Amino acid sequence: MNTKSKQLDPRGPRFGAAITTVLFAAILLLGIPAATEPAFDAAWWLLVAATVLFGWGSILGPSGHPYAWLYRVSLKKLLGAPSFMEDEAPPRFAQTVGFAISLLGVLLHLFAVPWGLVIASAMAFVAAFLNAVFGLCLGCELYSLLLRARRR
Amino acid sequence: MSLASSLTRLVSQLHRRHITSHTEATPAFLPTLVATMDFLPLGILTGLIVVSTAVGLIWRARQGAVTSGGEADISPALLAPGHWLTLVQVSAPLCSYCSAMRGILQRASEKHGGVAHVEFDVSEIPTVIEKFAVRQTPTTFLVEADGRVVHQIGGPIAPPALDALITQAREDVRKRSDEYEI
Repeated sequence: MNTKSKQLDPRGPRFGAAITTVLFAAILLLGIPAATEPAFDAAWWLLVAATVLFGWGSILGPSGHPYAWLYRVSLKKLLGAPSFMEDEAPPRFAQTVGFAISLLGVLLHLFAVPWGLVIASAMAFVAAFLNAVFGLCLGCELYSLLLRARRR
Repeated sequence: MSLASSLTRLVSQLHRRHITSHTEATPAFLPTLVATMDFLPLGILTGLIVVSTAVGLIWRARQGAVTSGGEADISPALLAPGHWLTLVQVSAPLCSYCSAMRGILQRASEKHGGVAHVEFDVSEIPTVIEKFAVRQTPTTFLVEADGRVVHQIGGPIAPPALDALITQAREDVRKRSDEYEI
């Protein structure tokens, strides 16, 4: 591709996904016991925070994100230079998908739908886990599936 | 502050209404569900980890999968002229490993003599995509100068595995030319 967009160290988004995995594990552990009676508890506020963080990555891009800053001051120094750079667009799109899912959870919870927060958080957890552990970007795969479906 | 508190009050009223409407229609299995609540959080989390690990392992096993020796070929017009082997890479705009694969293929083409690397977007070569049922990016074809596809690689591949494929292809080409000489 000739259009050269912003390039990222690919381990940055993966590091962010690891934090997101832990965050959503906490939301699930806190949220499941109270799943049938949605309240403004710790799980809810953590989900709001996760939604804001996803929104930040989606709108302003992953490079200015707090997780990217955390990565630069911590792991990056240990790991050294990356063997290749990654296009900014895929992780950014994945952030948008994460934002949509967690926003769905927030809305379901606001309307007091039982298990709404848990189901949305479970989806986000699986996506973040696959990205952090296996480097599989579900959001990116989803995008190419959509493209293919539209061509048919 | 007052805005926030009024919003909270409004939403908690909404909650109360919904919850009462829900308790009216509570299914019979819910009390037993509540009784097992203590195990539920860790159980669900463990289940999610098991399922996503399985998905991840299956996905990883399919990465770099090589399909070899098909009958179909790619139009030589798409290949780099003057090379015995062209590494044809298919990429997409939102593809996480396409730039990694680009680096791997470029280095391989520099390392092996007479090997070229060309890259296309999925939208540029629809006939190839259809013919070879390309379902992921990056997908790479190892194509001989006459257009014969020797290997098709789905996803990224490690440089040593790619080197082995190229060396094998060169052997095959040499063997075939020897046969012709006989």
